[in-house]
Amino acid sequence: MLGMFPRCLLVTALLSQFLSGIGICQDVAKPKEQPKTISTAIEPWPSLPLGLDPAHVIDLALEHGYREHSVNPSSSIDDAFFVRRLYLDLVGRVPRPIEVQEFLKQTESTKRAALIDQLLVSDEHAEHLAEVLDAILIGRTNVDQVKKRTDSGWIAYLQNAVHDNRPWSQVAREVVLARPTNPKARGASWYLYSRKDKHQDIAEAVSKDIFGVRVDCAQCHDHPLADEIKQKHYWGLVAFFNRSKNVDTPEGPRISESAIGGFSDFANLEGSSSPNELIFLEDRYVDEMRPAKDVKEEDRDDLYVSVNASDPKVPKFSRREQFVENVLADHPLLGKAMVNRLWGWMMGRGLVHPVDSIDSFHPASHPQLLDWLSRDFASSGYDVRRLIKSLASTKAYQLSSSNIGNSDPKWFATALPKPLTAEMLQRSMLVILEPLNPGKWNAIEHRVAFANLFPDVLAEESIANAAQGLWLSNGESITDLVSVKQSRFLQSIVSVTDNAVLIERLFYGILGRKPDIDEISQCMDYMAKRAERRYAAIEGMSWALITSAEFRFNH
Amino acid sequence: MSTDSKPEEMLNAPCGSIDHRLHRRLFLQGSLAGAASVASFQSLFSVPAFAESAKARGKRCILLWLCGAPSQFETWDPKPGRPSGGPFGSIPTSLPGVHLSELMPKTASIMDQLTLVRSMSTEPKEHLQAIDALTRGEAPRPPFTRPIFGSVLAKQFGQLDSPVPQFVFLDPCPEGNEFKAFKASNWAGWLGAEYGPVRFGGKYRIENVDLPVGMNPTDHSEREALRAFLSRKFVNDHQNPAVQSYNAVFERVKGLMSSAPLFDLSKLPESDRAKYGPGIFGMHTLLARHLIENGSTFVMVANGMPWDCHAFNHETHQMLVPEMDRIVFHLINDLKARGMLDDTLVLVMGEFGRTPWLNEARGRDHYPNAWSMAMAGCGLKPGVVYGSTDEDGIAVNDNPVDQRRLFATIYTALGLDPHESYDLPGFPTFYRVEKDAEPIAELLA
Repeated sequence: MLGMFPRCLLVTALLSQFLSGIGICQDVAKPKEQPKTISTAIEPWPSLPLGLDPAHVIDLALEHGYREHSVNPSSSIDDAFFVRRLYLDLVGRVPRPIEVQEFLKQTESTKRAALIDQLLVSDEHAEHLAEVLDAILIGRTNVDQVKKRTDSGWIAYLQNAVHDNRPWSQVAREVVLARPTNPKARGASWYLYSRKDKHQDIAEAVSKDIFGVRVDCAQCHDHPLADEIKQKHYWGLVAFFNRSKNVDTPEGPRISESAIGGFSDFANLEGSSSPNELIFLEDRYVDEMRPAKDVKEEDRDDLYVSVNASDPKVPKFSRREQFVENVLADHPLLGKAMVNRLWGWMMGRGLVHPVDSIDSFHPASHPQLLDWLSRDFASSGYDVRRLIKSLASTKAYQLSSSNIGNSDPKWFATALPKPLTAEMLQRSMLVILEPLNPGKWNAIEHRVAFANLFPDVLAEESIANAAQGLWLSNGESITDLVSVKQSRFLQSIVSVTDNAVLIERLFYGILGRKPDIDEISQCMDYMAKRAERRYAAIEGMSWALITSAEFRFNH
Repeated sequence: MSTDSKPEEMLNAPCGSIDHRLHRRLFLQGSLAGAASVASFQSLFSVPAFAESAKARGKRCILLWLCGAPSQFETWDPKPGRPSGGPFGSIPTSLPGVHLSELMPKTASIMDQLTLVRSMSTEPKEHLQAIDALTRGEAPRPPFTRPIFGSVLAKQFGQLDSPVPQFVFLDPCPEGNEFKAFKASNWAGWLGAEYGPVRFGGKYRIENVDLPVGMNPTDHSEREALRAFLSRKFVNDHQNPAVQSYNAVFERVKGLMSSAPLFDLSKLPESDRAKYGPGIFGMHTLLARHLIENGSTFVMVANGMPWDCHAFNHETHQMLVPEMDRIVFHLINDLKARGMLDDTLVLVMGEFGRTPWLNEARGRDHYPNAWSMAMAGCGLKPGVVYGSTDEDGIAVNDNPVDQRRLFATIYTALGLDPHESYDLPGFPTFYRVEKDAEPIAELLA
């Protein structure tokens, strides 16, 4: 897919031409004390043409950052590390030992790219990325709501969208418009429906999820920290949705829309009032006739497209439709938000961090790069798969995560360890331990409880808590899972009589690597002390590996 | 967010690493080679060179965190009869000449034991930034995350080999908008995750505190020791708050298992529960007293954000203040009766005050310019009211107190030097309290 891009030489030449602007600038005019951020340094970037290989642009831009900030990137990872990292990011689980072996024995120089392509078209990828998107777009919830998300077709909708690699702009449009026209998209309504007619919740979600901006703060006043986010944007966004109402139809949950109403004033803290006009970020504006005060609007059939009572109401002038046509379509933040989020997903933190705070108070670490990638993403037709492939193909993605004495994480000079989401952790444990009774783990009650115990998905900073430690140490489910009685994997090695060989197989099976000398000797001691209780020894070691930080993180 | 700031400011710092704090940890571990154990880092404080001072030992602190920010007019600084004063009157207290809101009769009767600041004057106007400033002492300066002062105390006073968690955060209301965002941030900051809080939610029980079926305590400990050993290299190679915090939670498991009964309120006398209850704020304050009695160093009692009265300020305060009044009264009395008030500092505060005027919804909005907070106990002079506001409570008359002076006073009261610097290799020099802020001498015993 990337073969059509100009190859390295051309890109390098182009980029170095742009980057060299700094050097000239320094010689002529740049004062010594000027802050050395890229933002002030590279102005010619907006003219960097599209059509270049994004992976290469990323590498050159980050390398430029390393030089500018005198940081040394860590070394590149070998194939064994790469295969684990990529499986976790793209299909949400560690690779099986056989998958690792297959990859390691391949000799083609293009095998990493081939694996990226292979995983991106797999059903597992669709299932995994849909889970991630669900957690981001609607969030963690209870059993009842999870069932409704499935029944409404929402989960299937996301899976199809990933599977068919549908343009992100279309997906965003469908979930915000919530007026599905074909059966495959019927679940799209759930994004709005799940907000239960709370129009402010809808506005806050749409802003964060689709535009990567948090407007919550602007409810009572213009955003105190980010000038460009105004109170009128908050109430304007609410107004685009405040004629909407959940309805239940034979086709499932739908959102009807009234043709009238939804006019009000909002007051700021000084007490002055303004009308809630249809306006959002960048002052994208939709004109609408406002009824005079005291005039009561009349709701008439001729204001609607369809008057069939069983259909959700669709007005001829639809604020939601106006929003997707005139505000959402090609809004620069539409692409930027997704680029930044997927960057965060693959690299461990966003170019803007936290990922849903793209505002003037949170400058990007590499603003020109983010701008260029966003334009590139838009010009690719919002091709999510291509974007993920580009990110996975970069040198930065394939750097070691070992970071002794290293730099500010925002320079991406080492890979950042990423905590596995609940789903990834669970799936990885099951893939490795192969329980005889996986049904217990896959039961919805268990999955939901687990997701709420490890709720983070792309958190600003993921800090573990004591409840997690207690569950991992004493929880009934994990004790059961890491038992010889339940685990096919453990059953397959109990008969190995040579303890050193058994320990190696445990390490290889769980962590995908060999133990070092110290680890072997520590485990040998642990086993020797339990010579009479071999199963307990094996279970103890397995637990120690499954709960190790090395297993818990994608590194 | 806790790390909001302008990254450009950081460029003058000698090094931009969020993680250099951990080098200190490695350095310390290296210097104690041979003393390694699961609890090795805790035991550092038995080494005199690293213990601040023996005299500071045994100090404790309870923070009643009135999140959302209560109105000073309906609590500590009433202005009866003034346009800003609201409908409630004021009442005399056990301290001659000092009046509190009539909503606080019980606390008024022990005013001679409290230390009140009526001239708080701070900057941040939004919850997140204000909570940050009033719990850490400074605005964020990424990538360096200043610890919450509970973590500082947990580190300074943390008792050797105590199974009881040193920093407990009682958090009955996990939702709560901006407070939720704050809770998601890194509390222990550069001190490292082991000084972060043990959070305890709405339930009065901790799950998974019993040994797995069929496992004896020795196996449990040795299994954990093996886990720690097998994680060591990875954890050392990944100087990252998420990794470090994951590893740190396992160091707490054993202590939590043995101290779990402490969290069981049903084991406390019915009379105590009746006094503090029935609300969850009171129950958790009782729990805080109980934990402090049993070895915790710092307990923060939060309660969602009910005080954020942008609408119906008076009605809401009419509901909330009497509960707080009763809780503060019993807590101070109980600590005193147990002889614990001398080494336990009690703080009652939110992140700012509320406006002297009402908005259209008859609410009071955020007002950091002039507000009040109360303290009692350890190292403080009781029965002192410091600073004042003008007749309408619009501005501070005299002796403005910002969060730095407040923290300087709190640390000094607890026997800690507020000007002590953090020795963090590769970091800019940070002080426990920045800008040489001086403690308020009039408030110190």
